[in-house]
Amino acid sequence: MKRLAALSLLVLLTIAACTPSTTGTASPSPGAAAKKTTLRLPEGAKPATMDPGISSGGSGLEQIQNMFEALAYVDQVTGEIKPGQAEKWTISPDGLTYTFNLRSGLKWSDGQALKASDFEYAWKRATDPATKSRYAQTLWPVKGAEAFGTGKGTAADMAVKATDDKTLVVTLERPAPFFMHLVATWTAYPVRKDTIDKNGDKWTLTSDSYISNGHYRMVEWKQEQSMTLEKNPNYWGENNGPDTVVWTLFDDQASKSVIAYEANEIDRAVLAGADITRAKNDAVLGKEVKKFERQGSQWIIMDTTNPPLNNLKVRQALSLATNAKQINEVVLKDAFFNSVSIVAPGVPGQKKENALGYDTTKAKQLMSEAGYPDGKGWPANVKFTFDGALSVDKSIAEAVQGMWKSTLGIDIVLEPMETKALESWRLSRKTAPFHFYISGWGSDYEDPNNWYNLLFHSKADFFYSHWKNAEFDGLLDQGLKENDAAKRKALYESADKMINSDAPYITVYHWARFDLIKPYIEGLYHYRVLGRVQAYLVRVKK
Amino acid sequence: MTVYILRRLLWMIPSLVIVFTLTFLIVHATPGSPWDEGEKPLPEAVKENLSRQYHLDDPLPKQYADYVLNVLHGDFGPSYRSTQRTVSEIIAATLPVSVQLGIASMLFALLVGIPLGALAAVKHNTWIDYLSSLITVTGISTPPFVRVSLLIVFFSLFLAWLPTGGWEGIFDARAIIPVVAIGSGPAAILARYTRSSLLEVCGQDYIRTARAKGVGEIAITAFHAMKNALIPVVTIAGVTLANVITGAFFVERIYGVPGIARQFIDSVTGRDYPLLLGIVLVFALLIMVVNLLTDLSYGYLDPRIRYR
Amino acid sequence: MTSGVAALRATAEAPRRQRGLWRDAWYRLTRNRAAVVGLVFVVLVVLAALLASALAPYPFDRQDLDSTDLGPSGAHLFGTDQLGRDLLSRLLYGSRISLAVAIVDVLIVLFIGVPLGLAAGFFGGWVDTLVMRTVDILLAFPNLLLVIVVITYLRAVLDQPQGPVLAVVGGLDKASGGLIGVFIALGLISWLTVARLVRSQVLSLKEKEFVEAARMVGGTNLRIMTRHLLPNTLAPVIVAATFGIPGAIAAEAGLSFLGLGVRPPYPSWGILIAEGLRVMRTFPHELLFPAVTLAVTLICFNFLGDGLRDALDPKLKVS
Repeated sequence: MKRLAALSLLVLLTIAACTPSTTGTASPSPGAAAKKTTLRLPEGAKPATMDPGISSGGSGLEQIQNMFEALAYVDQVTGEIKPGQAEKWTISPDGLTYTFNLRSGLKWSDGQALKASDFEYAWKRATDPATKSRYAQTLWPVKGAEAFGTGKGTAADMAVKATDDKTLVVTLERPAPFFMHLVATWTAYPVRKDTIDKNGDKWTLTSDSYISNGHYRMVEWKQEQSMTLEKNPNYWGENNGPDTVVWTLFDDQASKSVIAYEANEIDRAVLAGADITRAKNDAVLGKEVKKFERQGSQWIIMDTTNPPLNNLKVRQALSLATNAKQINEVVLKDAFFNSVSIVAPGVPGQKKENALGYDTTKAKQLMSEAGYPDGKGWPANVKFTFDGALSVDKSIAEAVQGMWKSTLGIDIVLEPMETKALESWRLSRKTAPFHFYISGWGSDYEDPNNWYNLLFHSKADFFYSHWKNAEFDGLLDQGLKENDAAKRKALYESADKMINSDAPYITVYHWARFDLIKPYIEGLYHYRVLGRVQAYLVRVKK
Repeated sequence: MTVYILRRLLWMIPSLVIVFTLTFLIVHATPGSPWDEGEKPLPEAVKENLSRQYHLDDPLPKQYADYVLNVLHGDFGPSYRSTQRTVSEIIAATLPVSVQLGIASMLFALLVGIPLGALAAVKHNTWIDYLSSLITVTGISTPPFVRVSLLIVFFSLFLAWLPTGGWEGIFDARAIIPVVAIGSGPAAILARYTRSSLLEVCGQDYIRTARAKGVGEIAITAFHAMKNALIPVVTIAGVTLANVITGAFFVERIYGVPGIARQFIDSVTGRDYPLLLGIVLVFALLIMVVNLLTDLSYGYLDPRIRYR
Repeated sequence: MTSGVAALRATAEAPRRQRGLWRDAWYRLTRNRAAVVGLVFVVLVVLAALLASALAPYPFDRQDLDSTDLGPSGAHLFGTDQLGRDLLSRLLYGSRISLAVAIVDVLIVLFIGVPLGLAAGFFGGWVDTLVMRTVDILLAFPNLLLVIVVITYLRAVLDQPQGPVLAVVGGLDKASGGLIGVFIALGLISWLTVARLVRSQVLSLKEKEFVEAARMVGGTNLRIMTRHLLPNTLAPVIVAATFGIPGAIAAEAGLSFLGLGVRPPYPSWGILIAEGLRVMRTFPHELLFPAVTLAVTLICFNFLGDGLRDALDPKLKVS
């Protein structure tokens, strides 16, 4: 009994001790004295790695992009390729050899000189299978890189070479019109050999060892909590962005960042679901809502070899009976952009006239022509598979089930799956049959190659729809080689028409980014291709 | 007694081996690879390379033997998803946070739950009893993830008294919401057990004897009933302490606390096998120690219980 | 020593008194106002679950995308959700799954947790070691993984031609709307606490005089366990059983949210609450109605549980 009393006392003291003293230290206020500005941003998941050579481009990329710079970069407003660490570059007439000339006086964030050999080292390191890079394939167009990356060649055979401190020469396996986009990818950022040799995998963990070459440099990384960056004084160019950038980690960004934003703890929040409706109708928040386009499409993917979906009319009927506009605007609270066509708008080749659209009369007619009038004779156990953990996908599945039932009279079975189990299920669809599942794609770079050739070519068949059209494949093969932009576009436009009318995919929506941004923040923008916040473009007017 | 403790400690070894082996087997039977991140799948060639680099394509018995050997040397291996940190480093960084949070929540639960339960028992079948029922049941019928969300909206947004998330140690205002959110469940449970145990004990002869001798009601409860009533309460407290440390997932996640429960679920859903195996071993050890301490406390609470 | 004598007498009279005990219990239960309220409400919930198809104003999956997220009105007493489905109807149908989960949980507690705890505490030795080390192991084991494995293989296998065992399991899964994973998870977890609780009670009880006395007059182990130890562990068991229910309902919601539980569009209370939580600041009614329904039901379960405990407690009879 005595022990219990002592225990209680201890608790009382503890609670008394921790309650009043610290209440109210809610957020670090930006230093008023020197007008130092801070940009406070949310991050949606724990960065798997801050190593540009290893990153798959998921969480952590935004921070990496703010701290590193490649030879060239994609302008985050116009999408043009602009010179970064390289002052200029020349491409040989056969399109195979790229010669990059680095700017003079380039320095790392610790003041040491940056040389062309740093790029050679970084590219070979990222390609080396022992590095365990998640994005090594980016550099595979370089001659000898694929062999090296798959263990069949050596680093010495990879055709990237620093001929002197300021010149980097790269030779490709075959011409690649999109190669400069790959040069601008994080996998191609330079990294410092000495810090990696000295610290091994841990070089990304502390500000001393994490040496970078971009607009910002690391101040502190509190694992699972936050990361702080400050301006890199050794960056070659100007940086008029905020002095400090802080990212706070929210595991459940969509629901938690809005709350932190409303409590004035962060300057930007990610909006999703019903919060969009609430923010739009709110007198204050309504003015802070911003919607950005992301070049991506979300689809219902069909197995075009599995009955009843091997019937073209059935696929077309299902596509025509899917009111994607209503799904986005009503069910998903306008969180995305309404469906236009299979390929996302803006990709050369994509044409909205090619889309099937929404037409219930036609859908019903096609369905009865296919032998299922009012759903009669429709097989049982046609399964719609989706990630049960994603509320958006679940809503889509439920909405589509209702629409197809009421319009076409057919029943489908909803099959939710655990995220990783779904991923391995999806991979096994290469050979195993299925009916429907939800997946999507977003541009890595704005080029038809990144969509038609990489995803839809029957040799690629990235989503295992098993859709095959020899004429379509032929157009894509031609498109890959065509150097005339207008002719190339026309080739892809014809291909686009075929895939839309054959309907192996039903587009549900095109990707978007919905933000709340404080009124004193200017220039915070997400470019539609791989857009991340570039702090140096942002102004904090507070 | 010493023999008993020694025997229990020795039993931990086979138990740990069983937990480890079962987890290892189930992990390798679970579909899904650790390599997918972000919104788009990785190319197959990259995944194949990763599996090769991490020796996931070795035969299972070899993987098991290699892994056991490493663990015996104190090396749990690298985390697949946090590439720069080893499993040992992640556990060392996150376990103390969860333990602090767990102990504070448990103290909160004891401090609120036991008095509330005792009060309800003393005022059995009066409005105080019903009110206490109402409070505790409402507490327990809202799952932790609902509780923490409601607390955040109310205290951080509506009243703006507390930050909306984060962690600066247990003696910071940021610890209040997680402690209350985690602790209120066990508090309700403890209150119910205390109440029912006390009622049970109060019906027994020696209490009736005490009452007949004219000792005051409160004194009876405190000095005679409490100690005996504590056996189920201690049992529950033991189980709950383990639960609180291992199961604070929702609260840690929603409030952004860098604890081990969050790592545990992330390692399950993300298939970060080395991290998962490491955490499972730590949890198993923790639970076994807590359960041993609980068992030993029975002997103190009721001297008739002897361990041989 | 008095209690030992009393117990002896009770043992001798047990068969004759058995019926009287239950009648007494029922009498005492009906005299307890809170317990009666609890009982009536619990019966109502069970009826609602059984008669959901007759009581619900709409089918639980009927969508109306022209009237989504509506607040309560004459047409929809509890409002509608994001697909324009009637929330009252979904709650009524959802009670089926949530009650099924609650019943299975209580059954597991009573028929796995209690006997194992009794045996471990009473026999001690290797029985105790076996049961309690299993509890330790299961408490640390990543049960979620096991559920994922079972569900994934089950569903993969169910797509193929099936053997008799799988056909039964598959039929069960289908009949329960995909609940099999939830039941597996409950089977792994929900008896652990109770087993430890009952064991701890038995450890203390078996040293008491009346057990010694019962043994002296030649009571078998089974008889001692069921007649003497079991009734005395009832109090914590009832609390554990009633408190297990919200945990079980939350576990069902959690698993359903990972795609391992109920197949949409079928509703459960847990799912409705978790979905309501996501929109609570925009459409509070979508959280309020399911959450209040669950809370009220659980409070009634608890009043009933308390009443049962009091009614079945032979010692309280005198006062």
